[in-house]
Amino acid sequence: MKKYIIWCLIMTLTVPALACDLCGCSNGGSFFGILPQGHRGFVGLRYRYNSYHSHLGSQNLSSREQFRTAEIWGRFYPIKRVQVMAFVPYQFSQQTMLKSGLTTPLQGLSDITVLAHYNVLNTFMDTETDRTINHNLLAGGGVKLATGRFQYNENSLTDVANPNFQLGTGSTDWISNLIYTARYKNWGLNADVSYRITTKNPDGYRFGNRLNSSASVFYLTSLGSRSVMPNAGLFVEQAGHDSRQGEVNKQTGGYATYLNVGTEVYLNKLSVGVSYRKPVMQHLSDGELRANAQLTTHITVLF
Amino acid sequence: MRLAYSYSCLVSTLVASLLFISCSKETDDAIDPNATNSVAIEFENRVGDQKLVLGTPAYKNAAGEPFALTKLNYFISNIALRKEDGTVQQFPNQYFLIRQTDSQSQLITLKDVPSGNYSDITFTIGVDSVKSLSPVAERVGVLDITSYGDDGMYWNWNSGYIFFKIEGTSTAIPTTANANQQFGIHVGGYGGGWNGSPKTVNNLRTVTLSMPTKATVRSNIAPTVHLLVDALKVFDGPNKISLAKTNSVHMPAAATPVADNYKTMFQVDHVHNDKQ
Repeated sequence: MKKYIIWCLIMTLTVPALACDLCGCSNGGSFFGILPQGHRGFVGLRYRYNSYHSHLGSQNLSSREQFRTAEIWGRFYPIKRVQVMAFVPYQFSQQTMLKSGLTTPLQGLSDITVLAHYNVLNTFMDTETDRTINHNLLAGGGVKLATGRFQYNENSLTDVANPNFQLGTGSTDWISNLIYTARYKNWGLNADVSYRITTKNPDGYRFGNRLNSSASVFYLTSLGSRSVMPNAGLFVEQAGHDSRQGEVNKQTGGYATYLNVGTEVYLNKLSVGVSYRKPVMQHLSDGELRANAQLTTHITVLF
Repeated sequence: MRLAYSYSCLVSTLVASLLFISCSKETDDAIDPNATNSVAIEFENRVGDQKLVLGTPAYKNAAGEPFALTKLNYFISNIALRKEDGTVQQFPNQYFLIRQTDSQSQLITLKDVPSGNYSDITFTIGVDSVKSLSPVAERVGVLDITSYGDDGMYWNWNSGYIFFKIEGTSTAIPTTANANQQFGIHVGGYGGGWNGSPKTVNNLRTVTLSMPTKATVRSNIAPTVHLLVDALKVFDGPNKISLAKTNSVHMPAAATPVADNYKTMFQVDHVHNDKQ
């Protein structure tokens, strides 16, 4: 029983890229990191920072895009085996032209995502038997709404005319997820796959479909009254080419592989976490885009 | 047992998907001497480090004069591409008129370019003297002098084509010079005469630009050479031009300093060698 409670408290999931891959230079994926799991709902605030160097081959147009996203996230269990998750991101971003130093800010509500997952398998819920290895499999999906502004105006001096430097994609996209977690004693493993099917937005722009996957290992230990859970893993994102008015742009999409390290700390109803991701291999936008290291922190209240 | 099997099946699928990376090694294809492809040249007009948006008073020249542009047109001709081995591929009798109001005009295409690695591009700003003096029937397309509407690119009364035209407004222009504080700078003059009239100065200018990366034409690669064209150089080139003093140029002799300036406004910013 004790094991079961601890498990419920700390069992983790990673769910792949959501809100920011749309705006984050087409490849700004951000997975959930390690989450407090079990049957408990939560509400929290998450902050993400990621940056890109763009147009690497250009003498004058090379730029850096910095995306800062503050996001309210929550998870609820309306029915025992069904979890509903929601993400409401707000961006404070900017683009800096490296040659001239000119910066263009971008601030506002980004795209809201709502997901529902069903517990296909859950050895913790299904039985009270003390097992050596426990499993959990969630399957589900959801929708990414077009709540963030997408404005592609070549004739504006104040906007960046770039589909990747936007608050949202302008499109309603469909997401499907598979999330698997296994636990043996103090060790655990997460793996997940997420596929996003995009649609054409009202401006005729369509981002490439996206496949994200991750695997990570975590270890639970205690530090005084706190539970501490360091974790490490690999995250891979792949995206197809974007198209504009039906015309495929080959200088979009690509892949990036990140090494991820982080830790979670649990204090009763409070959970805080930090996670750092470093790209280890990438080929984005036909080599014209480089993803830099990313940082995610969160503070979350369980209920 | 069956359940355990499906678990391991699932895990291996997840792990396999992580390892799957769509990595394609970029290797230069061999040059097939018989294969040709097209080369696109993009003219992106800018003002200094800013985008060029017509009608917006967002710019300032070195004389400190704020200005807006309302028009920017120029002819490009006699394009040649030089391979890394020094051989030159010429594209004679192809004339292009780049106009800021027409985005399609800003992307020109050279067809049937032999495979090879091209390192330099050369072109003339304007219309050469031979073509300028050729019969009207041979001057078609963008050289058709009846095709310009009220945005004329030809001087009937003087010296042939207007090679380069820039217009706009500036609060630095005295209202005594122009009541609406407008400026118009039109550059022409191919060095010939018209109907036996005296020869003009020659304001034809030829530009050679090196490419930061080579344009690698192959049967499956049609490169795009992306030029940045900095209209600020019209005022802030080798000659410093103040709009308060120079705001109306319509004669070739007066336009030479402008031609020497705009000769410096072109740069190859980058080259795309996308596989088709």
